[in-house]
Amino acid sequence: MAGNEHDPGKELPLSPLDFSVLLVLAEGASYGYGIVKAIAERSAGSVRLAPGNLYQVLDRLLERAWIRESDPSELPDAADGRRRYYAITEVGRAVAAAEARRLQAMLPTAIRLDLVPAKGTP
Amino acid sequence: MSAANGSPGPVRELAYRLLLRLHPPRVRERHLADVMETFRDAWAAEVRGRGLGAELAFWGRMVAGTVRWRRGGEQVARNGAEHRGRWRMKTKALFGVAKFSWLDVKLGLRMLRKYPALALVSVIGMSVAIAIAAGYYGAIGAMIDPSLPLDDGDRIVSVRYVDLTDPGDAMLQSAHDLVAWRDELRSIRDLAAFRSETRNLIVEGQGADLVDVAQMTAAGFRVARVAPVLGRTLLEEDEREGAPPVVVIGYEEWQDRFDGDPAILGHTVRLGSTVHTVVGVMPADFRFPRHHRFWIPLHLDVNAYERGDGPAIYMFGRLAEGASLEQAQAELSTIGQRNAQAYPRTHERLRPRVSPYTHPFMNIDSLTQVAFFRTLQMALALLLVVVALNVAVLVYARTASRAGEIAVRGALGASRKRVITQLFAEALVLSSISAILGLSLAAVGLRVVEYLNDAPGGDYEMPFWVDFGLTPGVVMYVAGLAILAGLIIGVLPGLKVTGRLQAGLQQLTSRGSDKQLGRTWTGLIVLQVGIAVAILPFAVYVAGQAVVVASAESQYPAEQILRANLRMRPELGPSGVVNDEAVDGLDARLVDRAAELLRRLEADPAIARASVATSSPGQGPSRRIEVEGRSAPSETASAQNGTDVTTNTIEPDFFAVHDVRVVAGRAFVEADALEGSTVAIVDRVFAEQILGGAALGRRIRLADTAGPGEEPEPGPWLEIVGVVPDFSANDGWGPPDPKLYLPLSLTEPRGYLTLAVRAADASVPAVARRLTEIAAALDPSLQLDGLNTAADVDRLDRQFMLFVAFGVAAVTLSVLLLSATGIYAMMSFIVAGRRREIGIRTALGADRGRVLAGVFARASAQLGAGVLAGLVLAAAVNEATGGSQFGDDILLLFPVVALVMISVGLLSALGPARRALDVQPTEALRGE
Repeated sequence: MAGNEHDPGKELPLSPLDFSVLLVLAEGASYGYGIVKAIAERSAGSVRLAPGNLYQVLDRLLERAWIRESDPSELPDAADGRRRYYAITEVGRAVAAAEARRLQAMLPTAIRLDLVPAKGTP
Repeated sequence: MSAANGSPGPVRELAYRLLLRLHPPRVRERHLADVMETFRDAWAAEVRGRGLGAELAFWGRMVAGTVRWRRGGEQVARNGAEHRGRWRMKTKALFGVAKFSWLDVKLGLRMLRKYPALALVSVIGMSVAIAIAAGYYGAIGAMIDPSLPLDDGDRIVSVRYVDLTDPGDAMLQSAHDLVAWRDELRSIRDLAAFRSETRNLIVEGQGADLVDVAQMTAAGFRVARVAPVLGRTLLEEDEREGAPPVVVIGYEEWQDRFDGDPAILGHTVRLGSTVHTVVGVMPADFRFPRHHRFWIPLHLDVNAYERGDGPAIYMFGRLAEGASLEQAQAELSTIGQRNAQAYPRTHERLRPRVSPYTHPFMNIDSLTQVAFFRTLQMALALLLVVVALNVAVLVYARTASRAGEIAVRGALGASRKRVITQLFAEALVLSSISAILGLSLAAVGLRVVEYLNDAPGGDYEMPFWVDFGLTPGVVMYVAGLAILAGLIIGVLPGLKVTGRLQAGLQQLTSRGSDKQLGRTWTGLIVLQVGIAVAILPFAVYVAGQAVVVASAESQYPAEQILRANLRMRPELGPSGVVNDEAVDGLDARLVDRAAELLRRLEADPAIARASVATSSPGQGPSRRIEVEGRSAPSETASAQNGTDVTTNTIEPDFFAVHDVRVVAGRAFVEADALEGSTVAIVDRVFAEQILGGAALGRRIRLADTAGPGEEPEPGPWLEIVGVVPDFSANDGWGPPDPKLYLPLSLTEPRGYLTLAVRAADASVPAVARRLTEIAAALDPSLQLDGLNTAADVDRLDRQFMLFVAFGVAAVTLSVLLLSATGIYAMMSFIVAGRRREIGIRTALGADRGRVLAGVFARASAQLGAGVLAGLVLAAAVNEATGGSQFGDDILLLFPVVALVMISVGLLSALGPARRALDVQPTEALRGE
């Protein structure tokens, strides 16, 4: 989608799933079930995407060029040749960063209202 | 890891593909392969090996994911509005299931209450059909398509020869082939071999026990990739000549026989003629290569045999990294062709074949055979379709009678889809109940099969990978069947009725609409009645006989009698060579040991009596005899040339062991077994049926003493010196067979004898133990196969017979019900279609009887046609099976069955007929 590249702020807020996938890929290229697993782990098992739903999200992110298919040469050694790997793009990283900043800006208010414990408390 | 590792299999993949159809087409079009790959990964990681609970949770998530996508689409997909719209329309057109609610289910349950007869008939019919389909799927799936529960189990393959002219024989490969292929094959690693021997396991102080021992090459353990819990597995060094004999034992044996002794390594056990040192214990449940819990080295001395000779072995290995089954086959074929040219005498007709590991054990030699099993499976699923179609007709008839209600709902704004959805929900309630019942029936059936197989005296131990339980696959299969049945019995009639609704209700109630139940249906109903009539006599006969056999009491103290088959099996030892001479030597040794065993048993205070024979009471080969003074074709039996009797060659004490008294004449004495002796004993059935009473002094002879291919030649005349009662418990079907007893000589070599021992007052298990000790002390290779009390063996037979009787009764009942259903549905149609006519005729003062006769006429005609066709078919089957197969009594069953069928048919016609008479003229006319 043309134009998105210039101002990531226009895309906000992101859907939680889009954001989750971007966060996973920001850490490094991954493949279908790898992403499912990573999201499940980060959500303590509460979000476990079905394959069809995952690819819905991936398709959308690909369409917006926030992620791209990964080049085999940049894959980690353990990568399986049969699987398709995805990596975050610069635009994707910028959008994720914008979303993170947005959430960060909201956090102090939430803490002040005692909606979440302050930093440091478990 | 490869995709083959823990693949979810085609059924699950298909199921998920179907779910994906509810997702936007874009995902399918662009990412299907990746989605499926992720699905496989997810299944392997979250479900594989974790049982039904994990499977259900997994599918719950898959379905929930689909639903979530549908509901919360807006949130997730910002760009997907256009897809969503298109997709919603599509799915609605497809199913309309979207608005499935609790209300529909509740309505469905209410329908059950309202039409209990319909519900009962449908549920019985469908649950039996589902049980049959599920039982078959479970059993066959467990046997032909099992996943080997080992690491990367589906990469373990069998390698063997197939004889081009006789593809059935799976054991044609021997030592030479192993050595040649092991050195040459690149696509298969760790090529290993094993053979199985049954041997006496003798542990000091525990008597003797028969166990199956795997003689396996060391590579076999590498293929299995399972480490021992104690000590080591077999090594290549153990296979060398002169290596000390060692054994690796299973965890269960270690626990049961050695109390889990941590110092078990170094202990010795005797396996047949050799003493082995325990060097390792394998983990629990490890029973590779087939069902084994003892492993000893396989000594294959290539120099001891000609090419193509030597003991047959099973060969197996693991596909090398990256190699496929096809590549392995190609490589093997090249080697095979070279061998066929190099050694035409032995290898010309042999083609090496590589297949999934389990195939040779199940005699699955080709894909055609697998296809045959699958076709049969389809046919059984079709049985459910036929049942469901029957129920559909019934539901159609009922739905047609609810036309008014449906029309009102339509008028109030219910769409066609809504109405069909509700009918589908009602049908699903019916089919789900049937599925649960059917599944339970199948589970019980499979458990019974497993129990009968595992019980002492049962056939043989199942391979470790066969699991007769309800696997998730079976449950899913049944769920699929239930949905299919629901579609047939809910949606089909629904479409038809609502289609009619749109065209106007008049058509449904107008004259001649009974044509809607077209020729196909009418034909089907006639066919069903015919089949029911045709199978009923046989079913009643089989079930009846099964019950008779099951309730037969043995005429001897079976609880006190221990029975075993005496055998000597060839052993392949470190330097042993198995050949025909060795086997002949064993036969001579067997009778010699049997005679000595009898002497020692008679001397033991725990044992009252002992004897050997060639068969147990009631069993034995059937032979043709001639009676002196009668022309060869005997007039007393149906056989064309002489009379068939059951023969048993026995030792003098045989009757005394079974506590059977000779009723006339005498029992055998030692001298009768000497060569040249010509005496025989018969039972009462023989005396009465064949000799017409007095038997003593009469002479008979075996009509055919020649072996196969020789000219038949009668044996010497034998004088009957004694008559005994018929005392066998399980004689099989029908009236008891006449029995002829011949004297047994313990000097003539035999491969097999039946030992019967009557315990003195001591407890029977203690006597059994004592028996194995005496036999093992006499000769460690003397085997007591199937040692059990006669009562236990009989009990198992009886249980099996009851199982058969129950199965036959269930199937018969459902067939009967189906026919009744068909007739009922047909009658309902006739009545529904002729409401107006009947109403007018009644209004015009027509006689009720004549109206009724008119309604019954068509039903009776079809009933009659069906019954007639069935009787002809039954008579033909009876003739084809030789007539005598089922005894003469079965002819008496024919008219009874016809009567039952006609009664059932007329009874099912009664309800609709009554409705016909209740038609009020005004009501019928108002329908216009």
